[in-house]
Amino acid sequence: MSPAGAGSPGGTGVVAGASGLRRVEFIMGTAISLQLADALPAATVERLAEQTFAWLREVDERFSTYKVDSEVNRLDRGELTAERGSPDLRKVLDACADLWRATDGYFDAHATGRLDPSGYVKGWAVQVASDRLMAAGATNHWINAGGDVRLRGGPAPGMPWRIGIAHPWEKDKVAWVLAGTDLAIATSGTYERGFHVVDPHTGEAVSALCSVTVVGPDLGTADAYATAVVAMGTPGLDWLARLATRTGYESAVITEDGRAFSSAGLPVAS
Amino acid sequence: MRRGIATIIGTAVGTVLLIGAKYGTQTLDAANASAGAPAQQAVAGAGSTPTAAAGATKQSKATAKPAAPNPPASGLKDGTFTGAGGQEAYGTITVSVTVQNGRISKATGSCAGCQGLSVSITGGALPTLQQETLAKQSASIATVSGATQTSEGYRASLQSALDAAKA
Repeated sequence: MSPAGAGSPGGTGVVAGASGLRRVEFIMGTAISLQLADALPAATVERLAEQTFAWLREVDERFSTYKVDSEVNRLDRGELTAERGSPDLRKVLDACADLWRATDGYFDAHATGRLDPSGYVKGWAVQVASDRLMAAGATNHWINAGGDVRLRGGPAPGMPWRIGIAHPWEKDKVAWVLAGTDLAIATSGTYERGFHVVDPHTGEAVSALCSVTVVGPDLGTADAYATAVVAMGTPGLDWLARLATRTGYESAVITEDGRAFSSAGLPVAS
Repeated sequence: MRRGIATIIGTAVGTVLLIGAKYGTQTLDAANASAGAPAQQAVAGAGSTPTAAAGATKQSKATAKPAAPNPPASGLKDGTFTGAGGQEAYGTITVSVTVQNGRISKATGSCAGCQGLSVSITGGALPTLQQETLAKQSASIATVSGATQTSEGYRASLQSALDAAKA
């Protein structure tokens, strides 16, 4: 992993106009791609894109474990209490605690021995960014932060966005194509080189589930669930099945030995 | 096969086990039973017709007979487990479940002293994910969801190619 937020914003490929805008910046140690598809004035689209990335950079400054003076690091060092932290910090900490309980401890913001809510923060930040775009009238867009996607509307009136779920071993292929107009899609897995997942209860490396995708309304939650299920290993398949029944968060899984599983309500493109 | 009546020996699945008798329906809900303990509790809850309600809430100890040395992560040990029996107004209902590979494969009920009554067990199947063929598609898509990419990993990714194509 490179340090989160390394380097200055590296916007590439700005296309504004009636067809919308596509922009990529490197924030939180990953690439964040934005597509705005509304036929809004170019200046409006440009402003919305800038506000979106400004928010994501702000979150990185405040929540990154790599930034010495981030709120998260000050809290971890005891220089700040949760009570005196920002409302956003408290919201994130509360969400992490809820997700720890909801996942039987498999989502653990203290898994590394220190406070590190990154597993929730990225998805949460993108969810907030998407909500703000909706409120500002940009109702057709998607944001993809390192493979975690929040989408609204579609590329054209009446058309849903089509989103691929990466194939673990075929870099230019996808294992599923999903379609929707209001989805959060998060994928966690072990197939990225050098990425290891440890069962927080045993401390042992787990690798049975190669790719876990969770689809639902909230991206921070979906991301945390996907991360937790990778750590659960094979029993995570049943956990996901119950999750779909209880909450409507759908799922798609690829095992280490190449088997594929999906929940009945997964929004697969027709 | 009626797998999925997991609650009686206490996964926290919360599936409700119904025992239907001729003159009423008794609901056994053992969602609060603890998992993995040698002796587990089955709690007979409310939700009955007047006839069956006479025996309402009671607890009985279940005895675990054989147990696998390494219980699977579901928390269920393989083997057959029989509840001690719950005394009802019309007799004593005993429930047995068989666990194979960590899943309940069979559940049966019997009623001692229940003259002219039959006992049947119904339970919703545990939800499972459907296995399918792993596809390898080159479809038209707007964006890709994948395991976390570093900035470096992004440059070699399908997402990067898609972004470049739109730029």
